Amino acid sequence: MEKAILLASEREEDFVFAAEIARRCGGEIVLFSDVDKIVEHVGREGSPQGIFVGFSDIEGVKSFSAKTKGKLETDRVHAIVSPSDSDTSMAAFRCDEIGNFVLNRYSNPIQDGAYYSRVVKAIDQDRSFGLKSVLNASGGVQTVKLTDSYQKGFAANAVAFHLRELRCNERIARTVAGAVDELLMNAIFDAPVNEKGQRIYDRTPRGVSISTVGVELQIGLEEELIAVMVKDQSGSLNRTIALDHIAKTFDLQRNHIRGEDYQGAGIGLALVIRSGGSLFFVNEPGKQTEVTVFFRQTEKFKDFKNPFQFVATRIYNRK
Amino acid sequence: MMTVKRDDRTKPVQIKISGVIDERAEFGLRLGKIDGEVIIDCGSVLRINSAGIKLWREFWQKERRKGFRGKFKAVSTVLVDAMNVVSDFILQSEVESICVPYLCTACNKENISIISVGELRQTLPILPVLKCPICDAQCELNEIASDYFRFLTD
Repeated sequence: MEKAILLASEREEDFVFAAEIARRCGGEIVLFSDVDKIVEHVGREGSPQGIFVGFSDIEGVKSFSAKTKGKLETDRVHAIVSPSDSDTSMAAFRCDEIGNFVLNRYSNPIQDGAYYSRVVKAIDQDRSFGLKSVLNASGGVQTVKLTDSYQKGFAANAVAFHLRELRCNERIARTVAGAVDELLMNAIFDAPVNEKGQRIYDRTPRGVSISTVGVELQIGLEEELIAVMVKDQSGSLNRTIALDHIAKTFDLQRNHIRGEDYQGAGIGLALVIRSGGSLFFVNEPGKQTEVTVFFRQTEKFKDFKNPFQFVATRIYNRK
Repeated sequence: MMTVKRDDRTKPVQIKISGVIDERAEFGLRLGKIDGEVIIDCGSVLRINSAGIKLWREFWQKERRKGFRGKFKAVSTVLVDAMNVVSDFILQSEVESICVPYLCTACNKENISIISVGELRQTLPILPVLKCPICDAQCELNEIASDYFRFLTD
């Protein structure tokens, strides 16, 4: 596998962003004008470290899907989309050939490239990796193991308390606690499956006490970053379903969720994205799932809610 | 955890909901009978999760079918967010006032101002001026206006 970052985008900011990723990953950036040439290149040179493609309309996503079906490693394909272009973003999130999504609301494309290069490097690892490997050396990580679903609320409140102690903005502390709550709820009630792969607790009322053996919460802090990871031992994450839930975030920019559609809408993940979080899903089928949410620490809450964002996935041993 | 204080001596009845609304929020049990006019103060609701949104919506839908005529006042920032996501979370006609977060441009302290929906409808996109109670400097909205006040335009 080559270390190169392949880029097909006409936007200068995307180039600066991808070039910084290439620099951080120790490879070169190779520019392409169309998808066919990327497919040719990958056929010749093997999978690169990352393939970044800028999309500005639904037709571009459809064309990409048709031309690359089964030819690229989904985990290494990164769509660059505009968060204000709901239609294109939703189409990209629902495209089976794309595993990662960069919302090109850059605060600074070089800094954002440096930040996202950690994700690109993490995707390169042989198996799921824990929070420590995604944070800089300075970032401390605290781990909490849960044994009962009742502890979910305590864990979320403890995270808020911890952040307040660190003089974090009150609403940021509460928002991170909310993300912890949603991630734990998914790990406790939606992740466990039986031997046939059927969900065990997805219809169980969320207020019921159930055992949560294997569910672990990690929180890590850096100067400008708050990261929370929830790990479970189900390894049952379905990328298509998770990304479809997130695609709803873009629909929410135009439409409310109608009350009657709320049930089963996977609104928890959409709420995390709406509150400024970036998500990273890692799944080892049948072994474990890690879902990480990253928040940028900012002085103003309105900047916290409106940062550079991404959604990344790494699915190991796909069948 | 959600806490509820109810004062039946006042007319209309006043109910204050505070804390965290999650899957354990037993609205029916905690709020008591909602009869006739009632004012629900939500200014101290700190957090609501997706399971809490579901329970809230189901409870107030039922009350609406029974003829609910109440008003929600000081709707907290997290509930405003929920209103902006779920269509019938709180109906526009039921909102008396909301919490609007301002940030002091000098000392960076966040200040919450409770503003009536009537006033917002008249003044938006311009917001009422707020001076920081600590340093008297001008405050600015600490939210993205198009997103935060979306429930008023839908």
